[in-house]
Amino acid sequence: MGEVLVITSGKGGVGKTTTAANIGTALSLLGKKVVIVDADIGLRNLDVVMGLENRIVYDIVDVTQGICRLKQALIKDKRYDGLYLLPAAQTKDKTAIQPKQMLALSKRLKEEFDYILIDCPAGIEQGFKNAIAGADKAIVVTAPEISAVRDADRIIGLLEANEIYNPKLIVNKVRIDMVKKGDMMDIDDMIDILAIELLGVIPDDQSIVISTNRGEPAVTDENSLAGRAFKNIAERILGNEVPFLDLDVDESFFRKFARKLGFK
Amino acid sequence: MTEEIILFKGNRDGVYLIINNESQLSVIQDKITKKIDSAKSFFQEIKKVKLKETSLSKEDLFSLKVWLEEKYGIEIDNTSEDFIKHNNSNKSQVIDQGITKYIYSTLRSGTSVKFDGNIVIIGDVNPGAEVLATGNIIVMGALRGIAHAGLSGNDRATVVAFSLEPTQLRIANIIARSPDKQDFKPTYPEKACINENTIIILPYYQNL
Repeated sequence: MGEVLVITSGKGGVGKTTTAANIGTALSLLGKKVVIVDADIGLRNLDVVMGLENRIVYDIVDVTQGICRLKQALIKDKRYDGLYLLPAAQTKDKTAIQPKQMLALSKRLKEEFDYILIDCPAGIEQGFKNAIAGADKAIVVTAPEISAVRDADRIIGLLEANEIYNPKLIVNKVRIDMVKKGDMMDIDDMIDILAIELLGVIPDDQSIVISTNRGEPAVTDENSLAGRAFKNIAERILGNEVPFLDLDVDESFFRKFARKLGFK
Repeated sequence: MTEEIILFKGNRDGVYLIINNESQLSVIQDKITKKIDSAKSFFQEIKKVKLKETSLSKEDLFSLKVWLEEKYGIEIDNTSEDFIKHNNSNKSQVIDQGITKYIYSTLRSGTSVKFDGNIVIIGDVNPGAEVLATGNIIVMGALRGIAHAGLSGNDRATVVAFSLEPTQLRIANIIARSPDKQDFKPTYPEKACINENTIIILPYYQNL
């Protein structure tokens, strides 16, 4: 029996889709059978991030409406063993699916996959309700911005109201240099407000932009710090204890030298 | 007639407890016990007494209050005018007690709690959440959202929090907001109340 994880945030643009693609890929690299479900009907882009856009024939709405079989809509990612995508429909909107149908779909996927990752749309309306309907656990993605933390807080409350307890937190787009200067929210302050367990911290990394545009998840790039952070998150999802990355590595040689000499 | 240490006296306002002498708390308690035991049926009817005269310290007064309530179910009613007259230092926190709602969780953004009485929150109130009470609001945690105490116009209502950093504070019909730039963050509990038509914030120490 698999586990359904919904990846949600409330606010848009904090990196839900990137997180879903990367964690999904990392889990498959760790030998699990994974399907990533794009629940953002009408604004799909998980397929683009994963580089699978041109292979979509059927989508999630076709499955729930019985136009095709589930197997037909699942896209196998040829690059990684055991990684599948269930794409969203682009020509419909969120009302094309009901929470009940999502629940039934999740149950079917659970029989076949180890992990079902649901990429939740932004907002708290029907799209959100659909996405969380079949979820066993939740991962809340946020960024070190007050607005994102505020929305994450609301989402955690809504998850609890829907009996999805103890969501885990991923803080994305962190710039350690800015945090140090006090220009960016401190992770501890965020956890203080949200009061949930931290699953991982992802640095704001150029490699994410590059990999997203190429359609290759950053986890496959050995040199990407963000990719390593996502890999660690996948390990933690499997229950392995992995220490948190030291994100303070991209300090330039010159600055390190200057600091040693006593300059700030 | 020798003056008694304690005296219960009834008039049209209710029953008064008068403590005449600068005795020790234990002596006073002893006398009260004797008095009440000697007229059980009378005291069974009494739920509230007003304290008239006392030279007791704050701490002793508090102990007496708790003791009386636990042992005999008699509440010392602090709203009594006389009491306030004699204890000017305790002025502002004595308001009508009323019923209380307890919330054993953190209020997250988007949640709202409204209650006709006092509200005690055992948890935080996060930004974007609101607490509305006709009485007092006590937050055993950080208050970061909006709190409105004395909803129906009770300007003696207070808001107390372990960490008082609300987005906005309202008491009765007065609204205050947190300063745009806060340089210093207290690490002790604070209390907000109305003083001369503005909301003021005081450090909260154990008061009666």
